[in-house]
Amino acid sequence: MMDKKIHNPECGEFSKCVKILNLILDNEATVEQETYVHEHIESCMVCFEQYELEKNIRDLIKTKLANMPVPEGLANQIRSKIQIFPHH
Amino acid sequence: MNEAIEIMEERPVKYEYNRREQLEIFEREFLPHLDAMYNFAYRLTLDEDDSKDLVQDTFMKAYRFINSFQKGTNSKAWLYRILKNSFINDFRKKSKTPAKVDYQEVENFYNSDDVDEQNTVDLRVETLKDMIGDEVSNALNSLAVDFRTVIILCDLEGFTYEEMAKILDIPIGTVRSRLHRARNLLKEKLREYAASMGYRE
Ligand SMILES: [Zn+2]
Repeated sequence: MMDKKIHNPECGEFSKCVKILNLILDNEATVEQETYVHEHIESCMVCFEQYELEKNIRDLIKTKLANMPVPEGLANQIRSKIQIFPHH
Repeated sequence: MNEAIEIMEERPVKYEYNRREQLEIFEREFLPHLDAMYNFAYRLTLDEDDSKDLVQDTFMKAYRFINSFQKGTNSKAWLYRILKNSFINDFRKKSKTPAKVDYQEVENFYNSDDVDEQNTVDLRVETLKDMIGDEVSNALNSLAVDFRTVIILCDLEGFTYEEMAKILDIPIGTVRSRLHRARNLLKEKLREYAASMGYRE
């Protein structure tokens, strides 16, 4: 069940980089962290690919998941329940 | 956003809105989120009738607690929090949703605060391009509800880690580790789908 710690033979900073690039994609990284990753992935293919993969998965979630239409009348059902609810 | 966060704390703030103001807040600040709320409910319950019930419960509760809501603040996060609590307290018990997985152990492990281990899933960007909505949806829905939830809140709704921590009542470190775990599980599922659909690498 536990993930194994992976030392990527092609990049000594892989773990660190992946952790930070996820923060960047979630808009939670500091400016320093952003600079670090952007500079790093210019010269490191493994981390660059990981960045692209993570970014594409987020895009997939955002663009491919269909929105369920709200059942007709639901808004009005809720409104009428509120109308009869006593003032508090 | 800070005001919104504060209102979600266990602070006994009470606003005195009259009936007209209450209905106005409800109409202008709560109901516009109906679409998002219904979809969030659906992603949690995976059932249309259940989602309808859950959403109605949520809006009734929101109205009942309206005097704890500060006009003009982050109503969306506030509503999400009510919905998620209703789901856990009233709903999960009676629904057919599978029981919570035991990820506590995993989270404790991650919460050693340094999430520096990674599992790399052999999944390629090219493979993702061919995926259709149903496959993405199935992959996401196959995750345990707690993992599914963080991905929805983060990727679909764009909540910050801080907002997610408030909505879910968990520390930010747990948000981070749960997301990390959820993303790896999702990648694994997507890879399985890709393999079973015979996508070429
Ligand atoms: Zn690297």
